[in-house]
Amino acid sequence: MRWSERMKQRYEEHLRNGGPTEILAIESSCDETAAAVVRDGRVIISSVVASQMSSHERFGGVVPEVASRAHVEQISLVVDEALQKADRTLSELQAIAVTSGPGLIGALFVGVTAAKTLAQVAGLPIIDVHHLAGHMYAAALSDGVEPPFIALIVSGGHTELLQVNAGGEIIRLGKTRDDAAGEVFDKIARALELGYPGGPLIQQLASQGDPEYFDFPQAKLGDHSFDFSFSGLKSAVLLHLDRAKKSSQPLRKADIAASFQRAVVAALIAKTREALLQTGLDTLVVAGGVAANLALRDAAKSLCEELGIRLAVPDFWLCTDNAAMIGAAAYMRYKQRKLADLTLTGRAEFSIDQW
Amino acid sequence: MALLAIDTATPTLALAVSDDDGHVLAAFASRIPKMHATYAHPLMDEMLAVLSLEPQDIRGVIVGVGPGSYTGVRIGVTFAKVFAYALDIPIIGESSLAAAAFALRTHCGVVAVMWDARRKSVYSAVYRVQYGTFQEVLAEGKREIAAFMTSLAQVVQKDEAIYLVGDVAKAIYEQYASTFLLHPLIVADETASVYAEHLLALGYPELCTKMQSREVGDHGKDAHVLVPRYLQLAEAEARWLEKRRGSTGNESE
Ligand SMILES: [Zn+2]
Repeated sequence: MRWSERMKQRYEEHLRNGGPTEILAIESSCDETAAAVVRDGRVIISSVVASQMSSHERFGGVVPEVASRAHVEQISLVVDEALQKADRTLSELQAIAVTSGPGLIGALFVGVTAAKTLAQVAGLPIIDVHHLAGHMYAAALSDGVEPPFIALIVSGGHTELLQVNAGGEIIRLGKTRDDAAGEVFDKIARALELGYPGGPLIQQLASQGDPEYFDFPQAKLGDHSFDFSFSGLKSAVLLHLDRAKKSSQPLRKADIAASFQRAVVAALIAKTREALLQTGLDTLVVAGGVAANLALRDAAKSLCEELGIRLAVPDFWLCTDNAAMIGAAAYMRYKQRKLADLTLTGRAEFSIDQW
Repeated sequence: MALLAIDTATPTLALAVSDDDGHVLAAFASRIPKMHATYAHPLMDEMLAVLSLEPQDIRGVIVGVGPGSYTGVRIGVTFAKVFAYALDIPIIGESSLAAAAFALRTHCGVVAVMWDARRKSVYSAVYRVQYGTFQEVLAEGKREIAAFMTSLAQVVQKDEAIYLVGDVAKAIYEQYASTFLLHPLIVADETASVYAEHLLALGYPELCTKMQSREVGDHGKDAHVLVPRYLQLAEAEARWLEKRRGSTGNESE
């Protein structure tokens, strides 16, 4: 019997008979090889992340070829560990989910190939998950939140403002027109000679500085756009650093970090506020690697208190890349019969409204 | 019960299934570059369906581990290792170069396999074939073309035929025909291709040994350690090592 027939039998039977939906999810879009087993999009039964951080640190950023090689070495081990920790065999599960993009194409291929192989062997459905949708649904794991909501997703590669309707349909309201917020954190951290990755290092330094000391500019992008731009802010900070280094004045690194961080957060929150007011939605999800930033979390909290709405933010450990979030995002698709097939492949570019 | 062979290190996507005795039941090859990730699974599914087999009927896997396209080889290796892991069956990796040369094992002479590795270099190896016997005479490596030709001249015996195999075979034939005037020099294949039936035949004895020598239940573990044979460091890594060597060199002065 072909995979499609074997898979359909199981799938239809499960939808008919009900019972918990346990999904094995795989994530390999960047520098973490991860697998997890998630029940009903809410409960993490197991989650394993093999980080390559230490192998990329020396390069000051993620090297795609190094990442892809590490994924091949880790993938079966990570899947095995996730199944063992969950005390499940493949045939006890209901589906295999995988990040198909966006991300590093060679890295994505490893995860997608592994997922298709597992699905083929076990006769399970395959669910294709957009990486940013994964970040967003990480909030469901911590907080049980369900659409509709506004989602602000901020990471090293992305800055997006999304409207998610009750059925899970995603409308992209805005995105960054240049650098992603996390990327700017990395660049400024490098300019301040703090190291990599920049986010946590800037946050740490900023905690000792005065966020009002410098008034770095925020981008103004027309009246009604929800887009972001951070290149002007980045240039201003770099220019300031350049000038300060040339003068004999002491470099106020902590004040620079704090003021820079305040400017980024203010820009993110301003657009988010507009989106909430305009759509009238009463829930905000803040997710992605930068959602671990305390200043951003605090600002989002104040905003939601002020507007009297609900804030859902993933636990810290679920903000960075992991597979549990992919399993959470896959659940709704499983229920909605949105399955992929054996031709699923990695997509380096993958707009979230195409998902 | 059946065995599976897969190679994706070259622009050819190659799959084969044999019975337990290594007799090929089905083999597939397509030359659609960069589509390996998309089509390896559907084609495998089709092949098993035609043979009325289930994935669970496969008892051992042979995979081409390169050298070749980095991205390409990772697809086959990931496919094969996850397959073997999930079914808890033995897996072995074989050189993709050797598998390409193995196609000529019933000939007599040396087979020089050379695949373009850019910057005037090739992934290369030389094997001696004699009516069914197959022996490596120059280990696989990434070499400059000129250096490879020098090595080839050293290992080839008097009057021995030289079969050139690979996507640069024709160009090398034209450039080096005069160097090997005393040898029959034959361009046997002008593509960088591995056909899975040859990979299967090459790996079959080793796979059999492994299948018989191991406790059931131990098999799937081999899959975890299987990695592609890239034959070189990632570029960034090579540069980083170079730099570090430079700086530690200075420190010791
Ligand atoms: Zn991410």
